[in-house]
Amino acid sequence: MLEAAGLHKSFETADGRVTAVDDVTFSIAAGQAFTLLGPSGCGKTTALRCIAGLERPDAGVITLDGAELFNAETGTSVPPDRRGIGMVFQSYAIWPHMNVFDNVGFPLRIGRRPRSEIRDRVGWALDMVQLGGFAERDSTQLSGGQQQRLAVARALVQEPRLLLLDEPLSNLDAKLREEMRDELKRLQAALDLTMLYVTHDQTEAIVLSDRIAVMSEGRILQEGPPREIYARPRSPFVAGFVGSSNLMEGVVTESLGEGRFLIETDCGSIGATSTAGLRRNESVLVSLRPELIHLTAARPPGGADGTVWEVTVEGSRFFGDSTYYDVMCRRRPLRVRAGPHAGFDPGSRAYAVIATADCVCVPTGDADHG
Amino acid sequence: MGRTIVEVAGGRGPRRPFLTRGDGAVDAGEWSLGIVAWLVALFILLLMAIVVWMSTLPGLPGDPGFTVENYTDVFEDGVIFDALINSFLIGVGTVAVNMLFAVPLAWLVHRTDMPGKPLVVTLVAISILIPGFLKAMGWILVLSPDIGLLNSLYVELTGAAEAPFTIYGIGGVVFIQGLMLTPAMFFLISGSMIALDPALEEAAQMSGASRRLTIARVSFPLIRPAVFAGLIYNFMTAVTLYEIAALLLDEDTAVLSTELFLYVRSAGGSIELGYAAVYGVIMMAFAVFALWFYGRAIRKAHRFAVVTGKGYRPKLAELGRWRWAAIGFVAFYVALSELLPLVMLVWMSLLPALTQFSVSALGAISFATYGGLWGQLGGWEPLVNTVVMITATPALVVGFSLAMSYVTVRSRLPGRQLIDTAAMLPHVIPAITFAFALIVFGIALSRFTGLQLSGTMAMIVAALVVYRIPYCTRVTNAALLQIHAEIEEAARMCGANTIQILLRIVVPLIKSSLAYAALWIALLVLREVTIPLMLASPSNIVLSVRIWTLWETGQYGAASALGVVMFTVSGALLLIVQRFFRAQGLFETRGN
Repeated sequence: MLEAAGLHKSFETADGRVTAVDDVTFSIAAGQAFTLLGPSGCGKTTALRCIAGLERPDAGVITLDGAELFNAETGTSVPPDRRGIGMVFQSYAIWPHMNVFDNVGFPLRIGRRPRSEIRDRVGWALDMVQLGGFAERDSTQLSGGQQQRLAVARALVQEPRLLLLDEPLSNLDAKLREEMRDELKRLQAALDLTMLYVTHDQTEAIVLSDRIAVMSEGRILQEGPPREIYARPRSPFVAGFVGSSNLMEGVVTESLGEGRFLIETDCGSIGATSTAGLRRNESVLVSLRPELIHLTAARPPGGADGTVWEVTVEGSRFFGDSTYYDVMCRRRPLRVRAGPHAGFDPGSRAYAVIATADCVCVPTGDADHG
Repeated sequence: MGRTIVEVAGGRGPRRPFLTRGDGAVDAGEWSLGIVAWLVALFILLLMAIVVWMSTLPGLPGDPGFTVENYTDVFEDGVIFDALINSFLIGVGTVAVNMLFAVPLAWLVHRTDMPGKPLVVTLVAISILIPGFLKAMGWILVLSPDIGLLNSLYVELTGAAEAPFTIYGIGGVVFIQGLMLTPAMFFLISGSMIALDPALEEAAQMSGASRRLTIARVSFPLIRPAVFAGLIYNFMTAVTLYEIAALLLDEDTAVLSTELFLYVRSAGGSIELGYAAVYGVIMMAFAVFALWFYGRAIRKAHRFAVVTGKGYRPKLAELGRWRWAAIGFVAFYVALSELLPLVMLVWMSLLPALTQFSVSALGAISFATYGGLWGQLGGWEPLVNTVVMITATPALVVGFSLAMSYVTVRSRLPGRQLIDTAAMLPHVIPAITFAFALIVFGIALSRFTGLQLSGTMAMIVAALVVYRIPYCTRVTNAALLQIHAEIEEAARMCGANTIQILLRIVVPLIKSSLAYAALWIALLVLREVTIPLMLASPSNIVLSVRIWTLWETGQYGAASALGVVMFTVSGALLLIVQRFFRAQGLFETRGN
């Protein structure tokens, strides 16, 4: 469906030339929801704007449905208004001088569609985002959430081959954000939309996407389904940015077979899994998700599929739906996430249980630590 | 002038100025806007170059040769030295009178609890709309040794043989120009008076400074750059202004502008375009030099204008029993600048023709002059010309300014900086120099291409358009900068091209700014006399020029009556502006 290959984009700034997008390659299958995830300034929005045609890449090729939209080699560049791509902007970009109907109908008017068709399609699009009955409303009278829906309806009304969304939920408050996130997911599935989504919010990315590409400093570090990104981070940055993680340095002491290894760390020996083969005495990083460490008061029986460490509870923070514990394991701090029920007082002794499958070896790349 | 670019915050990566568009494809519409902007910019530069070129020609444009004799002749003749000295004196005198009125007025309006402030601002703005030459004519009717009311009163009462007062001479020019340019100064310094954060003054007072010391050490130094910028701006205008000097100075008192005019349009003698060009070059050089100072002062003024963003309420000085003195001061200015000249013109227009202007003639007033006015006006043609002038000029100025601003603010087309600079240049080039440049342009055009534009309305409109572009591009720049780039990008993603975006998104969003600018330009153009007079021919006479020629030929009654008509039209237009834009902070723009 959409193929972007070798995209490169740099900007001239006061401090010299800065690379925003550095050799970015990805493809989106029809009907797929694809997310570029990364911190602000990582180049994800610039990449999206290159797909839209609002920025001109310095190098690379973009094709949509087999047709070339952009090719730096041949100089091909289809202007943004001819790409047939819908886009939802971070600021919504609702036109304040038009009412709801005119905002949504604008793409069809520009396309010189017959009046009756415009009426039908605008009605359909507004129903889709649950704004039916708002057609005659002044667009400036809408709430933030309604403006968001309006922006989506306007992007959908011309049935674009591809829908781009640039941090569409970042201006909404937390509650509304969750609601709109789920609704976007529902819309995407119901209309079988091909969608490219840009966000810095990992939860949004995980909930909405079929595939996620994690970006940092202009590059895609890892791409895959949400579960894989979460469970098998291939760099310290991804481990730290998608969810949170206790990252520990260690040395391989023994292979347990089936991709499982015994690693010696500051906290002691731990069983971990790795997708890549590891040699004895090789240095690795192990990633321990706080929510995948179980604290128990009584020492559980150890086993081949897990590790048990004795720890001291230093402090705790209650978050409502969970409790975070700061624990000490042989003078090395760890973060543990447990259920909402009160459990351990500061100073008490506990046991941390970690399943070998939940402890992941992360290759030590050049990338910075997240 | 720098423009503000708000940037997306956060992140270590490159930041994208979000008011500037991305560098995606440039379509045909954007190119055509670029070409329009480029052509206007080049035309402005061409007009300036033409004056310099003309000053090196021995004959008419198109004749071969290069000479420096124009310069040597002008300086050997020596009149230029008188002209320089007289113009300089007029410049200094004018800004002194400006300061005397504008600084107290601005302070009273913005920093005190004087009553009726909106009315005062409106009255100051109205003063802009009364053409300077009508003010001068009104004052001539008061203080002329021959026909001045005050003089004839004095002679009647005392039986003296000679009239004691006169408006003629450099002092008179200084007085009238001082009144005339006070509103420009008022609006120039208003900005910094409003922006002056009272917290700064309060801080000084909390540090133990007395009120007087606070004003001297904190308040005045903070508004000084703005006052200084206003001084330079008005000085440049005052030195090169033609209409007042032409009315009030005799042939022996030369100033730069009247000399230039005489070389081009001397009544009997030969036309000396080369000499006129030398005067034009001197005035331009003067202006560019002053612009450099002006730019520095403005930058400093902007640096001092602390915009805090928090909505503070300026602390107003309580006038107490000085309130009446303040009102008296405002009334004094309004009387000198508006009321007295207008009353005199109305009175003059009501006197039967050839009646000696005196108290005893009070009983003879009639509307006879107005009855014969149609004949004096010269029929439909001047009216049609005037309507063409005050509609075509604003339409073209707004259209060109929009294209120039769109290119400089929004596009990534080449040469944006040059377009922005060219758009600012006419701000400092004297009106009379532009008119002269167009005369030379017209002659060159007809000799090189056979196209005959000299003496048409097209020439007058062209000169006025160029003259008003700096004002309008500031308005359109500011308006465009307020539109978030994503508003336009959203339309582009909906399939709209640049022209469709401009017509359906941008123009509807800033239409009130555009209409406001257009109406102001119409008002400012209506009162313009120097440019249409300089470019006048029998077929392109406009209202202001007709008033001028009637006055020159001694038909004071008819001239006054047409002046009253002109003011009434301006007033009506002003009322429309006021009705239209009541909600939008009226009169925050300035004219000169």
